[in-house]
Amino acid sequence: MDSNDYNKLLKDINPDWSYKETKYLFDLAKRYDLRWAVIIDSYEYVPDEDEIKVKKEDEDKVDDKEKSKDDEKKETKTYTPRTVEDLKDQLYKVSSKLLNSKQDDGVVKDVALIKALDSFDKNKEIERKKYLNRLLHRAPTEIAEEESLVIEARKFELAAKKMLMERAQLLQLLDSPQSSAPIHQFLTSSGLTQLYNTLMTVDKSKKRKTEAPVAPQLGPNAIPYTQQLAKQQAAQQQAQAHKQQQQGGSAANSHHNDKKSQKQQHQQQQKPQSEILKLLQSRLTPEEMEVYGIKFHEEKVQAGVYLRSQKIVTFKPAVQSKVVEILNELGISMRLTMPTGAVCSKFDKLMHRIASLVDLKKQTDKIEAEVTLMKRQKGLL
Amino acid sequence: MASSSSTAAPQVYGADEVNAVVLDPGSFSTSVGYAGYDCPSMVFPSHYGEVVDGKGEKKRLFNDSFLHTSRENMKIKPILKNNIIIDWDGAVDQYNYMFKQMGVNPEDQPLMLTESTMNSYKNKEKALEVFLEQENYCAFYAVKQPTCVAFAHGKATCLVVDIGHDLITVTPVVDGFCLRNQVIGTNYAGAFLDQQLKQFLEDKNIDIVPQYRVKSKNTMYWENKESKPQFETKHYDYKIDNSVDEFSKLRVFQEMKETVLSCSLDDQAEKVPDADKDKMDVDYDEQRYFELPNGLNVPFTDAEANKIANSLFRPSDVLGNGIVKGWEEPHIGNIIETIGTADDKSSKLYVPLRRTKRPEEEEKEKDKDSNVDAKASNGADGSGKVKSEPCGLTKLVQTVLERIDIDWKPQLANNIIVTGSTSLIPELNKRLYEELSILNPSMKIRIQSVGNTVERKYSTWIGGSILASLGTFHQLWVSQAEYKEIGADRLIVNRFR
Repeated sequence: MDSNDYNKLLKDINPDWSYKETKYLFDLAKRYDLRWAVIIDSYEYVPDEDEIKVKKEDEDKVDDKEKSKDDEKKETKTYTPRTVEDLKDQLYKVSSKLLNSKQDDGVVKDVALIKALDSFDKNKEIERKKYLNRLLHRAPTEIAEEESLVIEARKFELAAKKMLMERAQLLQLLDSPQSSAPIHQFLTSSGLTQLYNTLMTVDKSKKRKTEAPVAPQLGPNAIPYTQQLAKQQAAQQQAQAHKQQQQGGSAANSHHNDKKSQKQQHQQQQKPQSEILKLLQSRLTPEEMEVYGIKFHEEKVQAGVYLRSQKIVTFKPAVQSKVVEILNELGISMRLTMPTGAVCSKFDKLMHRIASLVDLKKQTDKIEAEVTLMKRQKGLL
Repeated sequence: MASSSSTAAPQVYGADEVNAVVLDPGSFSTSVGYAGYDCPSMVFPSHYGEVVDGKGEKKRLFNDSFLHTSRENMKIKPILKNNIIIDWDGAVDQYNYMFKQMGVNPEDQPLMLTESTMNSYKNKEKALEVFLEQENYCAFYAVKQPTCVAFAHGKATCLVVDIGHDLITVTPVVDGFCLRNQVIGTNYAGAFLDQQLKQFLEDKNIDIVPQYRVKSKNTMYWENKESKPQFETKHYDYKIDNSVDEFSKLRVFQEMKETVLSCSLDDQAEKVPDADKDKMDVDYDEQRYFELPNGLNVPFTDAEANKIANSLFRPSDVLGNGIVKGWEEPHIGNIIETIGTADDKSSKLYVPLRRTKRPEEEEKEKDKDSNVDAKASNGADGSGKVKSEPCGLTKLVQTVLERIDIDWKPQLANNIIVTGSTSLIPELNKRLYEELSILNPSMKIRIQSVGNTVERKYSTWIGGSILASLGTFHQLWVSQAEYKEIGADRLIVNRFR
């Protein structure tokens, strides 16, 4: 295009720019591949005489500034040296307009490019550079301040995180006893101790799970794999037994549950029974076994010789005296006349039941006392 | 020799078997070699000796060995000044001599010439004429020296600080292109140090006697102004020209600079001798002795050595007390104006515009003390007068950094390359780094310089060698045919800006 076309179409983008200058700019941009640093460095456009004259008339400026060196302000010069932003502005605007106007050439309009070109804002660019400048020239005090702020913020973050974690842990801790069950029993002092004890056992059992000592898998003390498996199974079943204990609830039923669980254990367990036992069980009926006195000891049996009567269960002295009282009422003596196996086990059972009865009585007494107390407090409601 | 910028043989880069010749003229020495090698084959001083025959014919002599011996009727003349060739006849002769020694065949091998960023249009024209027409090289290219340095260090964008003999220049290089109008430099360089050393010796009443005048010598230590060296003078029948003496002094100064000088981090005031301390208690470890060709050992204390080396950073210190001869006029760094061809045409149109740009540049070079305020992109400061404060090295670098566009500044600050033989002064890099870091607390300053002495001295040549051996460079050569077709003018404007 020549200068006429330019003056018609593109002059209004920026009246400061002549056709020649724009062409020069485009040439430079092409040669240096849009590397603005180099372009602005080698930008040496000089306007022709007539251009200057025109400008002089237009703007009505006085001096020919190119000759005097005493000027201070750029604005008074007829030809303003271009800044990078000026160049970019002109180039992008003109390109955008040219690209837009190329209509039915068969060339697809690169809309994205045109949009990008249009979005160039000279003032924003100058602002951005000012910001960058300020950023790069911060005084060391500012930098130090910023760094200290960052460190503090990080500290706060960590502290907040820690607090959240602790809170979660606390909630977890508080959640362990089921809040759905009535909590009144835990409001009394005895209830509280009971709660504490339950929690402790829970905790202990938990710990036992995690702290199960693992047998060495390698080395001279390693146990063979099959034995490891057996150990694992044993540990699992013990844990289950304890679980069932807890599910039972109060300590009074613990013995019952103990027996129950033992039976279940026995059923679940696939103890490697010796062949002899298997043989005996298959051949003999239970009555025959009783006649022959064959007994399978599931509980732990102490080594050595001892008298059965020495191993009768005893309790704490306070409980024991009450148990004895009850026995007296029942008309049974403490000493067994004939401590056979069956007799002893039955006696054992009896003792346990009496003990739990005593315990229950104690508790009911306590609760009744507290009930009356509360009633009185509330004024005989 | 392991070098950080080692180049493989040209074949690796897919180039032809063409071995280009790389020629790097400098104010002190000129280096020549084949491209693809990692150090120049020949290094000659940038002077020649002109001898007038008995017949009255002038003959030129090159090469170290010739120049440092005395000869009847020989005058030594410089070829380059301020990195720009001033004596073309001598230059051409020298190059031919060197090429002959190397066995260069112009018709087969292209020539790559390195030039200063301030090289004049006339010089470029002359270069093209000489090499393409006169010497008949098949192809030619002129590359800017900072560009070469950048490539030698493997960086496309960097700030090249070249501390040479005549000049210190600081040039920003972006993407391989030198930003010519942002180049700043002073003449407080190697020659400045030479002059200071000279005055130092003169103050002590010491004469530098060139090697060839010494027949035999005895070691003698300088103690006071009355000390006289003990040596036998060689007598010559003929008169030896002054220029020959001066030239060989250059060699002495070079050695002195290499061995004695060292920068220090802070500017120590001259150590005031303690009133109580007896002079005999002076710690002799602090003094270093330098032996002159005539056997006289000159003592240099650390303070004195530091003072001279530090003058690179603060020339005002040295200039304030006594004038360094030849450097009376303080140089503020606008090297383009003083040395370069400011009014030169680099485009077809005549450029009166340059002069209007000058006041701006001068204003920017004013003494801006440390705490940097926010700056507008064109910081006009009010008065058009120039403060004549001589620019030290740090200030030069700082000025360039300040003027450069903000987009490039962090990248340039992070890639500062220090090169040039005078930069081998110990602690110079360290001091530069410390001072720049203080002035720019928020920018990451990184100074890079090759450790290897040879590479530091000849990085420009090495860069040219790398460039000429690149496969992708081969399309850039200007062939004779092209020269004849297009003509020098357009070539210079377009290709060798």
